[in-house]
Amino acid sequence: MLVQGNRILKVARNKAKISADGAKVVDGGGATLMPGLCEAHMHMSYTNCAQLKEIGEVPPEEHTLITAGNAKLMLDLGFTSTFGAAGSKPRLDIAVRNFINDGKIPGPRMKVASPEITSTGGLGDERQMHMHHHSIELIVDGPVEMTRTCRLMVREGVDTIKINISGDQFCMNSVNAEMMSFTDEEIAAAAEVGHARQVNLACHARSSDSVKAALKHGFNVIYHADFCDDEALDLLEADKDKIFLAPAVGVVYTTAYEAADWGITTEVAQAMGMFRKLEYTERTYREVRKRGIRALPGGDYGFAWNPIGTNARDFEHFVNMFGYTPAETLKAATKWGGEIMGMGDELGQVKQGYLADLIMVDGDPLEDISLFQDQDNFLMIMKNGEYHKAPSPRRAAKRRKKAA
Amino acid sequence: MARPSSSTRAGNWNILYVCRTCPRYEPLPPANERTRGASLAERVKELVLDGRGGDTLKVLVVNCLNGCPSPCNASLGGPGKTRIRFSHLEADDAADLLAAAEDYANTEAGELAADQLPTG
Repeated sequence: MLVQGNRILKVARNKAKISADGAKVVDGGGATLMPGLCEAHMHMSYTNCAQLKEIGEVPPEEHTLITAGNAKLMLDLGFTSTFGAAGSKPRLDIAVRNFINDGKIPGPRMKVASPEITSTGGLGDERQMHMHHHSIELIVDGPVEMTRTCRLMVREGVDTIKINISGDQFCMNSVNAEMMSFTDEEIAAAAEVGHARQVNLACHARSSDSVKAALKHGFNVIYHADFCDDEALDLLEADKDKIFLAPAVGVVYTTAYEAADWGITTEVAQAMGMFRKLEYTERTYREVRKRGIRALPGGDYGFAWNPIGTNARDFEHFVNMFGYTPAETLKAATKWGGEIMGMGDELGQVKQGYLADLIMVDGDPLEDISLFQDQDNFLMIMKNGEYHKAPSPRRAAKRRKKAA
Repeated sequence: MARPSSSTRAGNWNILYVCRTCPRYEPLPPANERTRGASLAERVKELVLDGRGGDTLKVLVVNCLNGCPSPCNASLGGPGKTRIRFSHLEADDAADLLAAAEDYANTEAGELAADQLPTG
């Protein structure tokens, strides 16, 4: 492959060679060169907290630094693109995205979402009658408030309006995952702003009714969709060229099995409905795969027992839980990643003319998809034609010696 | 619901995951020093190069194993096997950890007896 500027100029297949006078040659013998990864459910400003209201307690100054640190970490782990599934304070992710785009700090290409737009009693409403708490939310009730809030977020620079159409048992005050947080009029108001201002419309939608409402109003990114019935699956399939799903199963998995140190024992996880959720998610996404609906890895990372930096675990979940092959999983994390970023004609593939967002990994990910979890396995990371991690000639020599 | 195996079924590997960020809740060490987790990982890798841990073992040095209140953490996973997490480890536990990995590789379901566990 020949990279010039920020684009892939030529790609040679099989034994074909490319000649280019003066080009710097990188010997990747035995390694795998592939497109950079995309995280499709990114919470860049989440703080790896145990409770949502802890996020609200972080002052904006510290919070900005945490967010910038998360952005660098994602790029360190080969994620050259992230599609935001909600910020926490309205302008945090926007500011970090802008600084990255200006080349002032390292980080992936970011599509930034609003905080979770929710209703009173919806997912993210942590308030109590006697005390205000802020977490990750903007609370709206009624279509007028919805319109105003969505317009405000677009004015401030989000790429995506994110609303919580269904509830979720992750939040004790919230209506549950199989109930609606918003009325049809409220959802319509958000959609009207999104369509008029030409930004993405994403939603937290676990129940069948919430998925159907999202489709009715033209949302293009639907998160979770665990409890889809056959009718909802049929509707998703009918719209499969327009929509993207991301199960965000990572946090459900770790809450079910790995959060005991934070008091979420098996019994507590059971009471939170985690095992039921996992069962339905597996059933739904095996069907989604069969129907060829685009579902992308991205696992709600950003909590204490599911921290940012462990995002590549979702690839294993796609293989082990949903029956995707490693190749299908990586296609979802790269080619479809380019598409969800709205850049499918120039991002997410190793192809002539495409943007040079590339990674070189030590090993064959089709043999072992877990290798992405170890950042030492990234031999090279390039974003927009520039090295974030340059290949090391010493390491290449070591690899050649080992192979011999 | 049975816990899905947390190791890729695409390969026939047993994987030893070692957390590089342990202890997450303590201040970072000075720039020229490693975290305790990274020191454990380094010692594990040295011993693997010496042939410890068995033929089917891969080592992944990951960013977290979700046992932060009880650092340092490592875990074992394999195709169709129970994933086991060990806590309170130090670099000196690397040999015991790799002995446990060898025992783990020989199990069908990933269950280890108490005397097969590292002492950390």
